[in-house]
Amino acid sequence: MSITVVKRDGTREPYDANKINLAIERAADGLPDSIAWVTQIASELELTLFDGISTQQLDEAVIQVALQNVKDDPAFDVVSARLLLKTIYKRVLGDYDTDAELRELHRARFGDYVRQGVDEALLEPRFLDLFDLDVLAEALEPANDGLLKYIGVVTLNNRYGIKARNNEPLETPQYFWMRVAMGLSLNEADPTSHAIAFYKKMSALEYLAAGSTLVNAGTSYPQLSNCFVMEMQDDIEHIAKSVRDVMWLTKGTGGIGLAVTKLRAQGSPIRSNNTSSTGPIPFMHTIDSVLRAVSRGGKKFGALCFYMENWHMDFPEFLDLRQNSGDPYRRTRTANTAVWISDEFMKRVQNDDDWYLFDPLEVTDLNELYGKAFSTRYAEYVAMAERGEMHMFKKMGAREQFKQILISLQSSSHPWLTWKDTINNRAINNNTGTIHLSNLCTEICLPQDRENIAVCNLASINLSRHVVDGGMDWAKIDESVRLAVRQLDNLIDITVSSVDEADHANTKNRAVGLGVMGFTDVVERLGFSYDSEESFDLIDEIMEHISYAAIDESAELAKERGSYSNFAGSGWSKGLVPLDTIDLTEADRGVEVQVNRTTRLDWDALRIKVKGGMRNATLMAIAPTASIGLVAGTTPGLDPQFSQIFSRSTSSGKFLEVNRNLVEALRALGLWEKVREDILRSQGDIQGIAAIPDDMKATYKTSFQLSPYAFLEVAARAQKWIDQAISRNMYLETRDIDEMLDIYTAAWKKGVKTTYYLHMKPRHTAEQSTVKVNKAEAMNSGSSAAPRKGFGSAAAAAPVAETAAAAPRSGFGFGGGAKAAE
Amino acid sequence: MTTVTLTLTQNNFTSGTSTGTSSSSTSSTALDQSAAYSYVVPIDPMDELQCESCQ
Repeated sequence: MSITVVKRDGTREPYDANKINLAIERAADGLPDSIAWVTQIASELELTLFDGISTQQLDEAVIQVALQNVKDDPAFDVVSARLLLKTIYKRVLGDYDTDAELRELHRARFGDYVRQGVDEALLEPRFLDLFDLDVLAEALEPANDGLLKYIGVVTLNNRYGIKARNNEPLETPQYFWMRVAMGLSLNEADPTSHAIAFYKKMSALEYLAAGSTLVNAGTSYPQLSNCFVMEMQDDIEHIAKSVRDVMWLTKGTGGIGLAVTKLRAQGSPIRSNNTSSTGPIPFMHTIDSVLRAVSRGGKKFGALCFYMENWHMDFPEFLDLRQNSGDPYRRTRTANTAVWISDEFMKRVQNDDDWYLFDPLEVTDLNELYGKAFSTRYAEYVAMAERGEMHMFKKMGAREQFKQILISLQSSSHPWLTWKDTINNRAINNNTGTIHLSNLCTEICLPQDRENIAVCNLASINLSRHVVDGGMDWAKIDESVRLAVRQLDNLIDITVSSVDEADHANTKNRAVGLGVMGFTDVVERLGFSYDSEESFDLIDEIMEHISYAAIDESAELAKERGSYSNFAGSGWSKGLVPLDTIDLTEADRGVEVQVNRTTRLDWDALRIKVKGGMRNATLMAIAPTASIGLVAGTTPGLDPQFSQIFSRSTSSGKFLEVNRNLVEALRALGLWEKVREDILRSQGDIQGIAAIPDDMKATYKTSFQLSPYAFLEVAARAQKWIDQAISRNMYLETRDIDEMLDIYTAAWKKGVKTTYYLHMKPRHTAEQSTVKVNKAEAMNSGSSAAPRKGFGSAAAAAPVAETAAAAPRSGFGFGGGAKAAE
Repeated sequence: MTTVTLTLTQNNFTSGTSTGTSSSSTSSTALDQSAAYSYVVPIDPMDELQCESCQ
């Protein structure tokens, strides 16, 4: 059958296999075994073709075929990424043949890109006046696109890249990075040189700004902050205002934390109309509905986490918010929940004492207290309750309630456990009030009140880009941290929001949160095991360096630009650094905080320096980096490797992930070809594969094979240096509540401030993947089959005869690609 | 449980995904020439996170 291809202008031309083969060959250039890969992709592509296929469909087909083979070799991901990038280049820049031409096109078209963006009111109009566009164009480095994995290219384009008004892509990846860098340099005395400095770091994936910043920096709507943390006051006016604020913040792409502890309990009297309150639950349901109403055409819901202290009378109902059964008007389907736990409660759990629940209306000061002061006041209220002096209270075993929390956590992944006294006692800024909650991802620890909605601005160092000669490149980390802190500080003067209380807190505190991603990636490359002392010491040392450089840079910025408004009275002004607050916490708690206290750097010098001024109220927080980790192509945050092969399903599509570190390590031992099919059979688990050495098995343990105490130790060693907190995902195989109680108690004992999602092993469904194999061959060769092409020898399988007509798909690459095959 | 197909010889281009991993199986004579083993691929729990809002 002769096949014709329909071009974008509607004309037809015969399908030219040579042209396609050449495109694939170029995409495979420099890869080992490239000729074999080209042959494989080309022959498999033939099976998908049909007469009348459009050029866009043909581009997609080539990429899809390459992607199908990622299970055989991660090199196919490189081919896919290159093929997709080529479609982007051609759509944005036009035709080219060589890398040199591509580089020249990037430079030649950059000014037009900026001018078009400004003309269409998409980009910041000051770009045209403040920057030397020719100098910026010279700095563009298209070769850095080679650092992106396929999932990174797709995510970067679909989620972060700007489209023109005609919906055509306006940005190549390097234009995107430069636009973000420019958008964060607007307030610099020399915007061009700073934009280049920021660009070089982000383009090389050495650190990344967080999502909202990547989406909006340099645009005409620069809502760049990432986290908003607010509390709801116990009056109808403020409840209504909170609903309004959630709507605006959701529209602006921020994640929200919202404390509801102050709201009086169900049945509590309302004097103004002589009735009683419904309690906080219905209002939480209302806000849950708001998250779905302000949702960008229904495509993406808002994201929020409710926080409540567990002494609130309605806390038992709070625990049920995420349950599937029950009254839907007393459930939150979208919003998350977290519990704000005191040391007093943890001690009562340990001692198997009673725990009392109160109506906030009767214990109005309790939510503002923490540590010893909380315990003292709580004991007074308990005594009043026992004397019959409280209108409302409940009494239960502390251990019983803790188990109820853990049962709910196990069944619904909520509420997340966060420890208010560790957070407040370790806070450097408790001169500005009590911290009543954390944020959507449990890494932010900032105070808030009626006049202040705490705001935090995030970026993350990609640790995997700071490895050199079998160790960490400390000088490069120092450089990255300092530039990231400066970039984050700039952001605060550029960002806009529609909530005055958020703007107020942002400008008064200038809080930023620099985190990390790629820790497990580094652990694997250094040949450690995640649950080893080497690993614990590594994160300790990494975070010490990051903490030191970030604090020092903020002190330097204070000299240049002045201290943040609330500096006077802060811990910084007293010469405290985050490390020092562990002792304060321990003293207040009266129980040892079980974390290693080793230091390596000259902290005394820094203590003196911070007394002189700090530019930022906070410096560090480790976010989950689930999205930007995709762009960076590394493991998220401090999370372990979930599996050696697994599926990712994001808003940009589905992706198969294969651990490249493992593939390289196995190749070095000549084992990859022998065991790759076994790895797929075992769902990405190498522990039962006899051919793989034990030391490699130790390095490549996955989430559920690691002790939960290892997650806690890594978090504790990092938390030691961090002024805010960590999105610490937990992975558990056990469903034994007593074991869970011990694990979460250990988190508190180790001084971990917060935990995030709990992932229970049995709850994860696996996606079935049918891979055709030659059964006779498999039976003859056994599970350790002789080297063949691909998992299950999919490539060698006889082809299915029928192919379906390609249909246009959404969510593919940069708007679907177009011209590569032309 | 979602059944996904990693092989390229099937109806891969009708789904809305980026890897063609969610197509339905199509039977044909070719399938008879080789047996099919069913493997499972774990789903990354990070996809449950809502942190795209700020991350």
